[in-house]
Amino acid sequence: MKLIFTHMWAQARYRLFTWRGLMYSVLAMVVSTPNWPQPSRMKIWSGVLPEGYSVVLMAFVTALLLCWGVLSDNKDTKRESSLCSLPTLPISKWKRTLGDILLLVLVLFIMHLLTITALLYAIRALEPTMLRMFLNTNTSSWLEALLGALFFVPSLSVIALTLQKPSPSQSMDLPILLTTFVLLAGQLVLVSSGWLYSPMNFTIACFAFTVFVFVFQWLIGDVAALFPSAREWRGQMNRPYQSGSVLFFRDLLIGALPQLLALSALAHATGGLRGKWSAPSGMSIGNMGLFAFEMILLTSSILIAFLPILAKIPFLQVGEKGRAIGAGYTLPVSKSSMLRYFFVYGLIMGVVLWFGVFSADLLKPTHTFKMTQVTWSTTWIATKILMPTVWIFLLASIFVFLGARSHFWSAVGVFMFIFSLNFKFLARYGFAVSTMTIVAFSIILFLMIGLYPLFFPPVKQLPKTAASTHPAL
Amino acid sequence: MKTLVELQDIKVRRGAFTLDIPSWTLQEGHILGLVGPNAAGKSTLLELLAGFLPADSGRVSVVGKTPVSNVEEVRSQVGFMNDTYPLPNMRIGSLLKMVSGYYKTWDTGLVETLLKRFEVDPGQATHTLSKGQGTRLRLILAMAFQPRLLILDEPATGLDLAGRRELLRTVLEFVKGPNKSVIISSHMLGDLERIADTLLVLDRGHIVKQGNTQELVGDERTLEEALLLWGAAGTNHSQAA
Repeated sequence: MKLIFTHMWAQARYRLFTWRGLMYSVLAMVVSTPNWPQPSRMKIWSGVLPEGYSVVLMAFVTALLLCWGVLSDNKDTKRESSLCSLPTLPISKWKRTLGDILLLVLVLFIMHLLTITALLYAIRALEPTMLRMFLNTNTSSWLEALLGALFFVPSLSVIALTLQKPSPSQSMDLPILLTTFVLLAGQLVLVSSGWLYSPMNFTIACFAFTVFVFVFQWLIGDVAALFPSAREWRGQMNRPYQSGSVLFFRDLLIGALPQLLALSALAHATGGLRGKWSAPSGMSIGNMGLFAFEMILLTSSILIAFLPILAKIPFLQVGEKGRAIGAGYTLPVSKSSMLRYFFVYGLIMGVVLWFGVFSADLLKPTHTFKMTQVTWSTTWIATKILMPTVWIFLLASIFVFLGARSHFWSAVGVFMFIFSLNFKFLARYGFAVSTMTIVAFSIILFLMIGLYPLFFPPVKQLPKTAASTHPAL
Repeated sequence: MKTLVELQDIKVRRGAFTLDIPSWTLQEGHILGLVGPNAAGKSTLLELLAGFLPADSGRVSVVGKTPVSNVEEVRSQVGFMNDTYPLPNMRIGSLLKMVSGYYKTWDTGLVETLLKRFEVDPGQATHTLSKGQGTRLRLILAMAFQPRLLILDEPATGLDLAGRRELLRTVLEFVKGPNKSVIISSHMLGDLERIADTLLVLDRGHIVKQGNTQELVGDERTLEEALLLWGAAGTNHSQAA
């Protein structure tokens, strides 16, 4: 126990409480903007605690991401480092991990409590003028969705940066990505059942999904580690200098964060479905928020998977300053190139986001969309929400799966994915999708994930050395 | 003398390569030179001893414990250094203070001595260090807690002549302490010959020779010549020989 506290203190004192650490912490709080308490729910700190839970939880988890980015800083080495980068320290993996988690939980929770409270007052002051100026409505959901889109982009880029791995093996993050899809399907089941509409259930679901993601991904790693080729593919399980913290946090954050954000979106949707707000078009603001968030989530996941394509764009290539990520991804790290990267990434994201939102709007002529949670019909959910979403998951998964093998399929996947966002188009081919279908789909994905390394062992790509390319040889 | 390291029927597989050591021990009070061509298994062996790598089969005992399952006990008594492991991006002084908290045996006096000896500025940030300076800092980190066993994997990489001389001097001083041993893997054969009283020669994952340096090499050969003779100097050298 003493060693755990020693570890926490050492990390806090010498890694976190530095200018760099503080700078990133502030950034973390900015990134968690979508999780700020909404003006219309300003009572969260004065009695309506369940909704406050979700807000704080979202903020906390989002911020974890950036602090992970800070603490995993490893400028001077290509090897992945952990919170405590020195691999030789006499502290066991689980103690180090536990210490890291406790420290982050403690520090970030306090930080966010303070920040949210401060922002509460700021938003209260700004709400009457700013929101109406933007929206000309009495609600902030659109603004939330927009802010979510804007701030989610850099946070995902940071995720991508933290994914830097020395391994040449391909598609290390495919399980994580597919897990995201599986869990999204699970969320939809919860939504369709109405179970998630209770704030307490929502909070429970957040924790449950987080735990599930964690266990699931470690299971993949451990199972894969049993097979030599899979172990190579999974790579880092037995690699020297790899800390458990690295895998733990990366898996936890990459896997759990999108889930939590999606759940957050669902919570927003819940607010809309309660009939509290109503858009001028008659469409539930909350539902549009839901669509927006889901689109961002899915698109972001796909874009991360398709980073190799982005990296092929000369405008984004930065040569020596690039960092190798996974399957040869190159991400810019200099300030100017980072801005360019954000711009292009944000542009793509923005286009897809709005496309998704307007696609959702296309449903309006045939469905009034004036729903309350008690009038949702199973058929409507199946044909207009579950089925298209499953289609999206399926298409995206398949093409991500194929895309991991070639850039051509990546391109096809991106196209199909964007196209599939047009729910109206998909609805023409609608099938009645039951919960069991979703479950079956999830199982198939699970098998795909689990069996992937066995069918597709990595091809180790050894770098060309000066010696091997010397004309004399 | 106590046994510090003991290996029994060890097999470590890494792709097509297998480190295969039927039996090997190291007693206290020795400086062991670990030599062999590239891909002989030297680094694999050292990582195995430091607990970074599990053995696929066999028994590893370092300071009486299995390294991978007794990380705290072993690493608090074993200093490990190579020239590639990552250094957190912070000032050297802060790094040393941070690391000192993990060790009961941290020797502040020794750290100060080594900082001066290796001309390392505690105010400098780690990411500004040159390769040689990084090597010096890693050496200090590996020795600062007075480990019983010091494992050095290519410690002279990036060091200039003065740095190498200080390294050799420091290692010799270190091993004079009670119950201490050093394992050095290096291609600087001249340096090894000067300080290593014991040799372990590996080639393609197997032990080629082991024993007293003087007895193995003899008076009339250098270590380099001996390696050529044993066919453990690498492909090109062997052909040349």
